[in-house]
Amino acid sequence: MKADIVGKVDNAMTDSPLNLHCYHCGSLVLPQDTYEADLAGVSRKFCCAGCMAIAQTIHGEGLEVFYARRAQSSDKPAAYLALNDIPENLLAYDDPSLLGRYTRQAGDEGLLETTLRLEKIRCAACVWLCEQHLRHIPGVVDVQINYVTQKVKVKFLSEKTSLARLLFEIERIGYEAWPFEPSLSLDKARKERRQLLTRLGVALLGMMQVMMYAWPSYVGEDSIPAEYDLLLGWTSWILTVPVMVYSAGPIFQSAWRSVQGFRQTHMLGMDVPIALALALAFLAGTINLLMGSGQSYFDSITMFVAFILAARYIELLARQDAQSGAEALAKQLPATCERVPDYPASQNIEVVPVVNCNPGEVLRVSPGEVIPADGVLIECESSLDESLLTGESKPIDKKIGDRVYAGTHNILNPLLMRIEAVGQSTRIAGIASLLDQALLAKPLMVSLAEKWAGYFVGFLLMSALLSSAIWLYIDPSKAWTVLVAVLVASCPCALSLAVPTAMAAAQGAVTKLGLLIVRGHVLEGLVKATDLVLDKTGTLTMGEPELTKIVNLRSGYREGDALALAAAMESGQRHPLALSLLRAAELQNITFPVLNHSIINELGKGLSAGPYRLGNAAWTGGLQDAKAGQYGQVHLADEQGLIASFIFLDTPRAGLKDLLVAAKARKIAVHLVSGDDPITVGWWAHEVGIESYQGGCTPEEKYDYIERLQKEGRFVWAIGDGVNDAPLLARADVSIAVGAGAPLASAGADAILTASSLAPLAKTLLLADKTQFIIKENLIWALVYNLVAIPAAMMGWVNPWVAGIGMSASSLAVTLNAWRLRKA
Amino acid sequence: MESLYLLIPLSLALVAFSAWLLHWSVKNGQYDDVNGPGQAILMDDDAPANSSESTKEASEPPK
Repeated sequence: MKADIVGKVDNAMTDSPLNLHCYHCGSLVLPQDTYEADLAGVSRKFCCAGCMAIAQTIHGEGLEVFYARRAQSSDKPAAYLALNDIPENLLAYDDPSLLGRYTRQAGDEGLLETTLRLEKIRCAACVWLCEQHLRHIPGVVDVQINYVTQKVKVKFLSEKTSLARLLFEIERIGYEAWPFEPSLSLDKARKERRQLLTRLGVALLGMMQVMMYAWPSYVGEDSIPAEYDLLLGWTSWILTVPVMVYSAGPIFQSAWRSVQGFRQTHMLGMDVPIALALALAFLAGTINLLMGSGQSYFDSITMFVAFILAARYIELLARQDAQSGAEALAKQLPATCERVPDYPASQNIEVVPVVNCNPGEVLRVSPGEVIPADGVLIECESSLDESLLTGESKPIDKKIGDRVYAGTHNILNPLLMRIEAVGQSTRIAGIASLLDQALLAKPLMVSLAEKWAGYFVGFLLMSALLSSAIWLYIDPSKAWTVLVAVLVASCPCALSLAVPTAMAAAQGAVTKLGLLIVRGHVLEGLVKATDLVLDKTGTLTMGEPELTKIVNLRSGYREGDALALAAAMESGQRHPLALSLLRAAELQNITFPVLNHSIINELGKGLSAGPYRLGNAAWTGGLQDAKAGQYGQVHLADEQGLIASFIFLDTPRAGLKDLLVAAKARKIAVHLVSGDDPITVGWWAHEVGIESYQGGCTPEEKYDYIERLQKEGRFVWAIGDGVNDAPLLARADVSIAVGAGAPLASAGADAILTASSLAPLAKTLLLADKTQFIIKENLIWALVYNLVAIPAAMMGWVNPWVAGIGMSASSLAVTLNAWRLRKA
Repeated sequence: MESLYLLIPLSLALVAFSAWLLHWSVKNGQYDDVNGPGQAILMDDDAPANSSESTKEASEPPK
């Protein structure tokens, strides 16, 4: 019965346009080149053999529930997946030099362990599919996958399977994986995380239990017999000791270091007053317990420690999620390359790991691939996309003898290059090390909360000492009690909660908007920002040309005809303008005419196919319109002259207007600093209304630009996306990396924009204001509460249950106030 | 009230036990990935292969 229903549903779907989409990747399927396969009794359509192979693999293992659970359709896979052979570029991973680097012995003979990082993961279903598929490979002993970090630890038998096989199997289901070199820092980070979590857990347990023992004294102070009071007191003491020694241990250590280093730094850390308050309260509580009179304060101590550690744990998690520069660099470059060992005698290639290449050797780079090393072009002119490295928006034509850089994309012809630098001596590695330097040089921001807390603790210590001195004069026996009463009646909880709760609530709201905060000071920094430095390619604009209009159309031709002809010529090309033409044609549902002549690619001019020529103005005889089309123009012509001109414009990023309006409203000066050519930068600055701009900048010049602003006392906020922006992002006071950009840029940034629009940033600015306002409110509330409670304690009026209720109410008020931020 | 002499040591033992439990679970990596297992349990479909089509239909409302 069930099968019938399924069949009917699917038949209904055949008639709907939905079924014209590829079952696996969801892209449009053209009726003439459809692949069909029978999966679980239902015929499914595919766009290419790769997608079909993946779906068959998934169904073959009984994992088809993936298609029901996934949140987003998959990416289009590479064509070679239809074959069952491991491609050569992956086989190189079984080379002993790479294998030794990425795997380690796991106990028994022949059992190897490796860590892989998964790419193209979009939802939890993707992670699940990878895990299940890996488990099905013969020879795989154990798979441990982490959904958060997207790293997989695989144990496998080296005689039954290989590292290359694992990588290939992941590609075969539509994802990518690259082996990950587990560094010492990773182990250290995990240890740090686990240790802090245990400390926090102990503090929370202590707090819970001590609060319970303290409850009787809150509610029925007078009716408890003395011996029970003593019993409860000592039990609390026993539970407080581990919290003081184990949980709060690092606080005392860092406070001690800060005191020792006072001679050099002339600054006391935030931990000093905390440690002092904790030590004094614990000492006073213990003495009171021994004397059998007065308050014990253990409830306050444990609660205080627990809240501080909770805030620190959240901060640690966010910080550790950020990638290091070195890790990001590894992701930017390919691991293997094609070497031509007998050049120029023969053009035979061998696939080798990049680490095994040396300067002087010759490499071949196919179109669509990333250049693995710095070098000089020696054969086959081509065109490279250097936008991530330099910010230059248009592809650069490279002639023989021109320099090519690691990390740039080859987009036109297969080229041959002679290596001049590999690994750490390449230009891109230089930028990565500049990034690490910049992170060290970043000016430390003293947060508002720390400043207020500093004043507050100072004021508290002064008033406690003063009142105790006065009591020493009036009645020496009460001096000690009053000193401690003042210290504890003051509510450290409200103060310690004021900032972390507001920050946590605001960060939650910001994440929902599409901004992931990596370093904690972003919201505070945004409020202080006086200057906004924007990158152009990839940040202000999408770095993708869009066909805006078709002009100079010859009579007798419709726009669609010209576009169809141009798209037919460009099909299969990787040039950004070609992709844009094809996209435009696809949007209008144009079917391409069949060309009778083969297409010839003429570097620096354009494409020709028989009588038709498609390319620049000089070659085709078109008219270059100097004003229109900042990205470029392409002209289509035949023997009788021009048929049409296509005008392209780089697309501005969505939400740019909102951001600029918000910045203007706050009197933030906006700067446009880009590596693209000055004319284009000038045009864009004029177009969107930015007054100060600079084009043609190297990464170093961008870094200097920010440094100069900072020397003038400006507080700089930067947004960028490319490798060339990484040092700038690391140096700026507050920086945001566009998520789709280079991994290196994200490594230097304080926050990562996961949305593709800039509009969330405008909202974040408003939210930052609100957060600051709520933090101030919270601190003022804590201050007012203390201004009432402290004088009362000074006079000796405060009894424990009043203090207890006051303390709880005060903390609750602060937390609820912060909660309001979540709705933003 | 004498029961306190029994209940308080009992509560201390309970706290000590939970502290040990916490230590064990942290060391065991139980908190390293707090999202994954929750997702995985929804995804894992242990039903035999021929009935998986019906589970799929149930989770996917007819269009």
